[in-house]
Amino acid sequence: MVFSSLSFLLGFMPVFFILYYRLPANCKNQLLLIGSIIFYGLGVWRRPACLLLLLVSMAVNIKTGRLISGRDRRRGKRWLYLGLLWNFGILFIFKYLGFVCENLNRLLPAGLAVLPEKRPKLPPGISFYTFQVVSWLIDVYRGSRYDMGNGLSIATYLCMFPQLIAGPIITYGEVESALQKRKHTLKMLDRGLREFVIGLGMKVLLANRVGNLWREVGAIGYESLSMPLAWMGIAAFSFQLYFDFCGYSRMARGLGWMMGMEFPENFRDPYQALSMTDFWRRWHITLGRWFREYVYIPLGGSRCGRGKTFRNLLLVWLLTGIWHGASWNYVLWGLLLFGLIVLEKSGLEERLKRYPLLGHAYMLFAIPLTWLVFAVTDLEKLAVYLKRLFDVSAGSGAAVFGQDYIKYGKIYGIWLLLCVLFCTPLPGKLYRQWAYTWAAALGLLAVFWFCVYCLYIGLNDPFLYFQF
Amino acid sequence: MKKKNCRRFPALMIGSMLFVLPVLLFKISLDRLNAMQAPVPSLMREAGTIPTQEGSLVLSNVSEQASQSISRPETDTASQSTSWSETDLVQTESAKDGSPAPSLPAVETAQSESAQSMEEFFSTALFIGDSRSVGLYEYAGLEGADFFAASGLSVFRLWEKEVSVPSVGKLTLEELLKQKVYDTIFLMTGINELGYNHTAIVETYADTVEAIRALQPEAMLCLCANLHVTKSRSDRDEIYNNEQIDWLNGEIAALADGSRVIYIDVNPLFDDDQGALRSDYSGDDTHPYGKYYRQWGRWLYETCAQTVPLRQETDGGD
Repeated sequence: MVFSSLSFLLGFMPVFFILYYRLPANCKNQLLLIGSIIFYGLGVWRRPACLLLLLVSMAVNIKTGRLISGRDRRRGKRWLYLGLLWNFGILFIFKYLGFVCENLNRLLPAGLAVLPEKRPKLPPGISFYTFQVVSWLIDVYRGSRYDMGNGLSIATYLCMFPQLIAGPIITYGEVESALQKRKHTLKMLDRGLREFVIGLGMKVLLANRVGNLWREVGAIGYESLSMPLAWMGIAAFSFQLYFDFCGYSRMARGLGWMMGMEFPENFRDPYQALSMTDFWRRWHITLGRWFREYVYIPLGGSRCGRGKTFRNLLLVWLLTGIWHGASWNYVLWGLLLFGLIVLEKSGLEERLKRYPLLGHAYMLFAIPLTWLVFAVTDLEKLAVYLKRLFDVSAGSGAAVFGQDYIKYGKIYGIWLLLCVLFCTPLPGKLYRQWAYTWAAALGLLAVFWFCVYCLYIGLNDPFLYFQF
Repeated sequence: MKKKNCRRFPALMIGSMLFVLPVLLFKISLDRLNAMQAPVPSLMREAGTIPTQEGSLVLSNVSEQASQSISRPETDTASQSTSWSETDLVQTESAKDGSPAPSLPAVETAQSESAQSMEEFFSTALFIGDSRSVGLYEYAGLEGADFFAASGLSVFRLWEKEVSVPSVGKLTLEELLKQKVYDTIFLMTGINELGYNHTAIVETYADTVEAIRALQPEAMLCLCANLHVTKSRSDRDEIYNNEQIDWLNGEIAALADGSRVIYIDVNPLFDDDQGALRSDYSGDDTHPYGKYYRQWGRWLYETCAQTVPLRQETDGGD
């Protein structure tokens, strides 16, 4: 089940919150846990094994966490390794085994290349909940004073529906106290509902609209794109990805507030960044934080000399790449980001900060080009697209419709401009100024019902980040 | 001026839900009820107003015409036009028995002496159709042809919709057909109609054919088979799947008479060995990539070009 579906908006969500607010405080976690299992179960009802996997994984991890927290530190370490093996093992089997077998088959002699290449369909949210539970296990091992006896709180944390499928990846420490005791106020409900509607609007009214342009570009075929349309296409994908994922994160945050919990911010105007380093401090913040806390810093971070810093960065960015998918383009994408960040650390970032206009101009190219590598999984097609982006001859010799950018500009131009506007801090500033006026309340109400209308007439897409 | 604080958004949401939800549920149930009923063919009005000219096609014996549509006109140059007739025969048969279609049609590239050049041929041609016809306009390089095409166009709205026809202007199909004379008209609709009542689709399509023939009695009308979708879409889509498309194509084939109204099927050009659009030919499981429209355009020329002089000879003989 996705947040931007009629069944969630008009079915699950109202029913859940009516029950949630009616139940006494000591029953709210039970409802949240059961509701989350139902939420996940409804989304995977054709593949009940996914739900079973989640439940088994939850039980195994709670038990492992308790074993890790025992007094014997050495045994705790062993249990931590076993816990990591269990979680990353499952993730590897579902996400990477097929990819590894494919590549091994290519390397092996013909007679031996018989490894199974079939990739199982990913259980929704597996990358997110795996990272979340691993953070909990490591935190327990590191000595965080969590209440290990409260199995209900831990289970609820591990599968809370607002952030189960696509994050934000939160640590147990961020929600532990709220899971044990939290306040529910009208102010929080109001704030959460507003945030939810803003996220819904970002997803349904912006991401889905510009996403259609990216889809049309794919349907035309990259060989037949004119240069302007190729740039419009990748701009559309960049906007779609941002509004899609940021919209989801804001909806999740809003749901958290409605339940009296504070989830961390996942996006902070990333397209306003002046460098790639800055961009990744603003984009998918909780994933970046995970890699920093559990990979980069344990490896020594930037305190072990230049060489080791670059090694650590390389590892982090390669892992970030393959976290997003088992395909060579993600590896390439990770390497590209590593290259840009190393370049920036060598002095470029300072200059970009000093001359913001230069920084924006640099990011104007760096963002869509890196997203292109992210978006196009087939490396041959990626090469074709790159050629189209810089082909000023309008694809002479190829089947190119020269006026394609005019045609699609008329259809999508207004949406692209709106996306540009909503990537700036201006709408946020205006909203903060006018948030608690009748005009803003009625405006949000209109956004909500317009989204419902759009969903009703079938203008919906699944969230992009569900595939990771 | 001091702004009033409004923290009543939850109340507004709940209030509007209480008000809008019953309306929405009523609308959903009404729409479902409507979907269960057949649409009224909108063409009947137009078909009635168009004067039926003597000699225009009367479709009565459907099964007989189906067999005609897939057989070659009996002429001395028939040996050159083996391409479409033979592949259509196989395709129509395969659609019925479910056996796989041939991978590629044997398109003869050599043209008869009397055949027009590609540019000449398409300079007097009109394409009527949906997004795939739009694709032909944009990517096939069919210079000179007119396109009355729009994404999502169906026979149910064909006569009421105004379309911008490049170099002609925005007008209805009836206005266009009254304004210009064409030698060849390609009708490429059908897939958007799937999901509606089958009888209504076939009847409206037949009315459309009749109406076009009435307005352009001299033109050769090519009824184009609807392109298959890829196997993955066909497997997951209850409406737009290849079984339905083959059914519809069979019904369209049955409307052809083999001389003035012919049926052509491009599917073998783009099909895989399971009779579905090749997945590597399409980015959205439905439309071929832009680069393949040229191939399609060439195929249309090679398939149909020689039948125009043939038809003219036949007409002259009459």
